[in-house]
Amino acid sequence: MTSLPAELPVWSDVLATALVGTQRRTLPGWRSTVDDPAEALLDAAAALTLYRRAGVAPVTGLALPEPAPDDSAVPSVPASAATRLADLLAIDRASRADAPVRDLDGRLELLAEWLNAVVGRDAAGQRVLTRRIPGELLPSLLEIGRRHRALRPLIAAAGGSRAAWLADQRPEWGYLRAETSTPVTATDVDPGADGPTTLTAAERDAWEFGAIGRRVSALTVIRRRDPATARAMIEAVWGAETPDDRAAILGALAIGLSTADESLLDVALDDRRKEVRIAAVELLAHLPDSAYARRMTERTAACVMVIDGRVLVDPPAECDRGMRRDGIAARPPAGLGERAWWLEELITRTPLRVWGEPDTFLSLPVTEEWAPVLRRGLARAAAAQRDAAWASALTGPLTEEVAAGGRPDDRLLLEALYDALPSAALAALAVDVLRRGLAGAAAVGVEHVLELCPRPWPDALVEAVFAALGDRAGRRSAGWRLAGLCELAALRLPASLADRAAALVTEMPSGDPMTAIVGRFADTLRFRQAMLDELT
Amino acid sequence: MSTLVRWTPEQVLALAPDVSAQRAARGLTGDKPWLEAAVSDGDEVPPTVWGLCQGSGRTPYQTAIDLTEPAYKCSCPSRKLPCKHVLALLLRWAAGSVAAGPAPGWVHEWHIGRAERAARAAARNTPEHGGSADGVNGRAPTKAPSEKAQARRAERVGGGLEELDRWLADQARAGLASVAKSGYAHWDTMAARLVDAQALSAANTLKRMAGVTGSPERLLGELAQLRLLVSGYRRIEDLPDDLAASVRLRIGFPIGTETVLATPATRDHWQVLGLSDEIEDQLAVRRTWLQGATTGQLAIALNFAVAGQLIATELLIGTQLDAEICFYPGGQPPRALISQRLGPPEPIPSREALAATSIAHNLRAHAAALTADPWLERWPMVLDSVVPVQSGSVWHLVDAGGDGLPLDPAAGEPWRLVGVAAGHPVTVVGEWSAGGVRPLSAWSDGRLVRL
Repeated sequence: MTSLPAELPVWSDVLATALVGTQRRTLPGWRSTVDDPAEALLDAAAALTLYRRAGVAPVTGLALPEPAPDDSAVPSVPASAATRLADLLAIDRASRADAPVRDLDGRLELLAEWLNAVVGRDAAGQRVLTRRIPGELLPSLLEIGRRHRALRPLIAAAGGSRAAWLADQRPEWGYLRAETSTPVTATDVDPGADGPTTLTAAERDAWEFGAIGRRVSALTVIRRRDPATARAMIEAVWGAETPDDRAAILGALAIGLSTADESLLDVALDDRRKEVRIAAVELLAHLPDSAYARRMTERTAACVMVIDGRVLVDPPAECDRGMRRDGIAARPPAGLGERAWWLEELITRTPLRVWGEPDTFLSLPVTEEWAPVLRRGLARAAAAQRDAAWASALTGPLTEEVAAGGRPDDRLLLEALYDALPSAALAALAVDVLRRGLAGAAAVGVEHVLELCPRPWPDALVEAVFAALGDRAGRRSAGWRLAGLCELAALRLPASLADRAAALVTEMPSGDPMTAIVGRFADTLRFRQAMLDELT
Repeated sequence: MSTLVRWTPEQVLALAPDVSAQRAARGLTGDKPWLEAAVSDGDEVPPTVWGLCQGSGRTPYQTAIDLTEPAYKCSCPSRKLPCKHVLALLLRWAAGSVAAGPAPGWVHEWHIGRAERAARAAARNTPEHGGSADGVNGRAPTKAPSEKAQARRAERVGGGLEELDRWLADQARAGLASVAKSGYAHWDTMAARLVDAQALSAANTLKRMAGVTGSPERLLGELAQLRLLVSGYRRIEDLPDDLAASVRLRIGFPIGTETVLATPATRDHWQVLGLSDEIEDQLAVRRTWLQGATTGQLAIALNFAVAGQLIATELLIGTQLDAEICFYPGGQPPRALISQRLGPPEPIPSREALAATSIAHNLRAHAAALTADPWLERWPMVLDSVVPVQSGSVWHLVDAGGDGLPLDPAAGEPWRLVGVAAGHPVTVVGEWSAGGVRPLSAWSDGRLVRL
């Protein structure tokens, strides 16, 4: 290269000249080998640009961050497991076409299973990390926790000290701190706190000036800590709130609900806004010692009497003002008589304990005309009051009704009963239901039972599932419902059954229209088996 | 007898591979070197100009040109095609200094040999191997274009660049403040002219410039770099080989894969350090950075796909490949073409195998590379023991010596890298450009992972 002129002009001069153009300004003090000032300017700029690019100096004086605690004592997961986790973490991305599980809920469930596999329990029952997640995957994991609360405790445990450090670096991940410092107790009152406590400035600020969402969340926090203070706060402002806000605020009482809340709820029963009245009725039905419960019990006692070992039913003749105030819907749904409906509504809102032991009561003969109404009312009460004993006693008869056709909303009622069942009873129930064959089981909501069944599924349930899936006629009659059942079973069955599932597919006759569905079921189990093998 | 239309000297010179060949040919058009010469246009042979030229050796060179294709033959050792003897003979013929005459035996043999080769090639009917994106303008040439085409191209490029130079000076004269206000059309017109002139890389640089008009500093830098390119092309004969090759590369002269594969290959365990994808002109471009484990040679592999389609990844980050690689001439780091794979890819064995160095060392390497290719935009860095540090909204990588380099904000916040480092020093591979470092991969738990 020819050598550059000894003195280069200053870059700022060159830039200033270039901005206005050489027809207005000439680069000062610059002798070039070319005559045209424009060309000379470009040559100078070229030399300087190169000079500046080649001469970039490092930045100095940057303060290093406080490093995360050393976590190298925990072995990291193998590379294959890390690759699989990266794939599972891409829950929002349209995942690879060959992935067996494609819906969001299913993928979150696989992710939870993966995370659970790296978390163990120490002697004291605390969650401890057994295998470490590679650091580059933690940001995606923390992002998922932002949107999927249910996973947060698991993320905190599986992320270990590194995730906790990382979360501190970015406000959006601050939720993880709360996860690691306080145990999660869904809707329970914090047992450590009783007696009035003072509000923090932030809480008071949120309650007084916040938008309704912030106010309710502040109220919820206070209510959990100190129900009486929260109630007093609501009472102080009740009349001044807009109807929409009243309904939202009242919802916060569901936490730590007690008979002490009754007077406030009673006021709400007279509210002009229907949503507020409904919310009040819902809450009052959970208070068996309230005046509301007493009123309901009196009304029901006039309609349902046990005399000489027989249940005599005489439904109400009218829906009076008092009944309407207490939330009885005056108008029955289409196809139902008024008196039957009113009876059902009354029983639904009456504390179940007035009937004594469920099995005893249900064995009594009932006026035949009203027996189904009575049973439905009791079932709704069992579901609403989350009464396990009554739910267990009523599931069988209601299942028969649903299986025989029944009213269209009976299946929903049955599923609500499942929710109230003790988890120990669910597996046995599921086995029972599956005996009806796939179509029959699907008709009475077997998916919902299976959804609720705690893991790991017991052997009897495993056998029942495979027996049902192995029945060709059953598969055919289940039709599209087979897909939902297979997807659920594929995620919940022990992954060690992958071989058995594969055998099930090979045994299927060629041309069976359900091959694809059962094939995916087997693929998912195989995927989970491989996933867990990588981590052991 | 001859119905043959003689060529013009311009036509002849358009075939020259470069200006120096033109100049050398002109020196050989005299009678003295040519012992014998004639143009044969009979039934036995296609129209052929042939001659015997006395060179530096004892035996004269046999030079022949089949005018139909045209095809050339010369027994001189020059690698250039066409060589100066071919050009000189054609110039003589163009000037009317070559009389008609019967073709000697060696001309016949040449024609027969070519006919046989053509027949064999047709029988083989080998499928063209694709993969070269250098051949824009339709199909990808896998071998060097004809001499005539090359010469024509060189002339077109020269013309286009001269025009570009005048245009650049116009911008400097008018001032960037007013230039920045002009819309895309202002740039597209000149870019289109460069496309016509087959200076495609230069045209792309110009098109990109329309997007940086918001920063006068960058705009001036880009204009100046183009000016440097024009100046370089004017003096290309005087430049060192690597710099001259870089000039040709940055202008956009195509290089056939066969030409590349004909160069000596370098065998090494080639580490795949990082990849970055970009959409350029509706074309998805994947840059894969490679480094030889033994030689330390840096290289770049380029893959292309229509935008929206997936680029097949055969080079996996964190692996190394025992292979022979040929390099495209020009550019820093040079573009690699794998000529032969000698084993399956295997993981990079250790962090130490990466040969990571300090920030200062990497900056020095970048500066050194600029001398061979002043137009390079991206430079791979293998940084040893760096910690990602956030100060305000800006991120830096800080090495053990306390030196820092800014991260490119356009690459987004480097959370994956922060997760790998967790405040501790790590080995990072990055792509250095005007915006800063774009982290591409990092050593995490015993392997190099993509970021």
